Amino acid sequence: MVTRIKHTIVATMTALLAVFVFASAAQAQLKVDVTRGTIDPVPIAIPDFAPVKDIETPAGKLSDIGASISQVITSNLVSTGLFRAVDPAAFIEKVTAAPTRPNFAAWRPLAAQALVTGRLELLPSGSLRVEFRLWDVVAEVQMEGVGYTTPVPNWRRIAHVISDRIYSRLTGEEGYFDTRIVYIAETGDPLHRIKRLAVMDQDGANQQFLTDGSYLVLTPRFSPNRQEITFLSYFKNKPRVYLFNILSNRFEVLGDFPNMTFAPRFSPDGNKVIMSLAENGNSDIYVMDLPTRKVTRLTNDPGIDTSPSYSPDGKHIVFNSDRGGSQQLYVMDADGSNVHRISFGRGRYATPVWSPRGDLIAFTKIGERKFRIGVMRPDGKGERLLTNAYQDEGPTWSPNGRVLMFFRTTKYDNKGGGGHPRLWSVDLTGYNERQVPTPYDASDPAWSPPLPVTKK
Amino acid sequence: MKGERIGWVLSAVLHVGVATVALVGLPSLHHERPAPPPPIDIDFVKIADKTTAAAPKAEKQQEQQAPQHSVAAAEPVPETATEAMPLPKPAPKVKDIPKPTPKPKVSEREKLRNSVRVHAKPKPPSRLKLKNISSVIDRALKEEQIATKEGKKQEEKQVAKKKEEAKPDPFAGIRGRIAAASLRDALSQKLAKCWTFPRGAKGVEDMQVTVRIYLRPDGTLARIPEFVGVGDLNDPSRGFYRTFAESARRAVQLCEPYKEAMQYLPKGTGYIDFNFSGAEFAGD
Repeated sequence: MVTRIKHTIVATMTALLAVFVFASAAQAQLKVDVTRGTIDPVPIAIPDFAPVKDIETPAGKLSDIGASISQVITSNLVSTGLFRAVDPAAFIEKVTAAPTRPNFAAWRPLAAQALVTGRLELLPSGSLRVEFRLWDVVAEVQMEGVGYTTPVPNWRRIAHVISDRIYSRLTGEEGYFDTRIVYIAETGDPLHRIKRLAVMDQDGANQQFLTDGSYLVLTPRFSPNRQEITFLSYFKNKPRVYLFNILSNRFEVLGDFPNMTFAPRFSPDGNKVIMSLAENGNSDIYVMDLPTRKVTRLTNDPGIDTSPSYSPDGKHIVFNSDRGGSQQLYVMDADGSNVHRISFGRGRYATPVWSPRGDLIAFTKIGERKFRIGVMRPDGKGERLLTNAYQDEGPTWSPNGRVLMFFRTTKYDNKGGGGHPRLWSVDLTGYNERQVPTPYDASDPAWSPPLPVTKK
Repeated sequence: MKGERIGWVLSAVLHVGVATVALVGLPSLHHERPAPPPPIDIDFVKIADKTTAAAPKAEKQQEQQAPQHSVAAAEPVPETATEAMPLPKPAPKVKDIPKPTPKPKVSEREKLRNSVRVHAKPKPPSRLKLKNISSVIDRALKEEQIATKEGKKQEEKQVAKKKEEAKPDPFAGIRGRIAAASLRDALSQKLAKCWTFPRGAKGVEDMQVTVRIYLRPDGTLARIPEFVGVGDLNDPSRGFYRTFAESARRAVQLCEPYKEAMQYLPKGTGYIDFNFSGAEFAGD
């Protein structure tokens, strides 16, 4: 009996094994490794947002606002270099405000891989409601659908918020369109330069001056988590570090520093400001705790230590120093210990800024009679130069760590021209270099974190 | 005893059932998606004999070897290519064709004469003399014998050739593997043209996703491509991976149809797994 059971088990196991072998053989399969792709921009179609009812508003007709919203979104996405807008003249289907699925067969011949449709209406409360949907034209599915309500004049900001959602859904990275840039606006001749603190949307819209030019302002830097700026200003020839809240328009003096002060910058939690202070011709790194205003010295070296920048986790600080004979990049722990050099290339390195992603450090490289923007990993490996103009300097990261903004100064010519700084941006891969529109000469940009959005 | 027998029968039935499912394939139980919209024009990729198709030299060699073939015609595996060739169209039916009247019976001698007419050189009838008829017949008989012998020889040759063909080809396996490798390279190159993803995204160099497709006999997708072993893509913390995976799926859909793969996946029973790796999209 036991033998029979054994036989049965063995027979069953053998049969099962045979079935599995047979099954795998019956389903012929092919495995293909795809290790390459294209970096061509993704074609995206963004028709005008359609009004439910085309009525006049304080900011214009709803149909005009709808068209402007789609233009802002298009401009934002195209400016990344990752998307290509399909020519509206080629659109076959007219998108209406009716909440229906698009006819995908009408968009595929245009090679559009993504489609953005939107509708807007004026609510009885007088607010503007804007709804958008992002469609995957190839898979024929809705990828995203969100509605926003806002005062009518705020439509431009809605366009930026929608751009962020689309960008985030299609790239997997956070968007950076609903952000602002603070910079130094420069006017006047080279010998009598008037420098004013200015702020604008990341695309150059909504320009505002925050100071009137009576005092010299330098090195504005955004708080990483608040709409707050720290900057250096010379008041009656004394350097002062200021805090300025954009939302409340309130200035606050952080402290009077009797000696030269450079490059104040926030810690990632926004509770500290790190800077370099010069004493007796020697500059070292100090950190100020904002709630207590207590100042702590972090470096103590005969060399010039300056331009400190925190890592996003707040555990490390990168700065530049000439303690080794030439200006190079160094990394230390947040308490000032474990200082080690990370840059070893030819030339000098300045203004290091740690990426919000944490994986790269941007810097200005000086050498071969040029100032160029580059990046390297925090361990100093993988150095790459992203620009190659005459004078590019002062990089600042977009909040998602994808784009760098910097200022480029043109070369002086024999006719007394040149020497004009302007803002530029470049993707961290070195592609997609673009000038950022400013009404005047502009230098020393700093990128804000995303503006706060109130959710229902 | 009776219970045991029932158990054996049940076991046998279940085994047959499992084997049937394995044969037919579970995927076939799924509903096919509706016919897709008109396909987008896609550049076909030439299939090289060697696996290093990316090298420009290899492409030149291929062009030299088969310059007259278009890609569609020059499908990769010559052995199976004949199977994939379209059958000749049947001749159109003609109505009311009069049936041929039966031929009058011909005697053996007349048959012989006919064969002589075929093989012998025509001579003017005026020069044919009655006394030479017997010699002509003799000659015709000789020729007939020679022709029969030659026919036999040819038949023997054909039989030998068939026997030779029936012998297992020692290089068939290698040829098949080369053909499969070449097809894999071709598909990889084809997908590379359809796959778009932003360069420089953080951690993209470590990302991988497998997209599985099932095909109709004409090479179009039989259903929406599936992700293999990706876990929960709706997890908010995996937004970036979801985007990566979706870009791979979009590429597979854009590159449809896959006619070239049908020789490797006969009768549409199999599937293709595309393993996408993001290393190429690192920003370095």
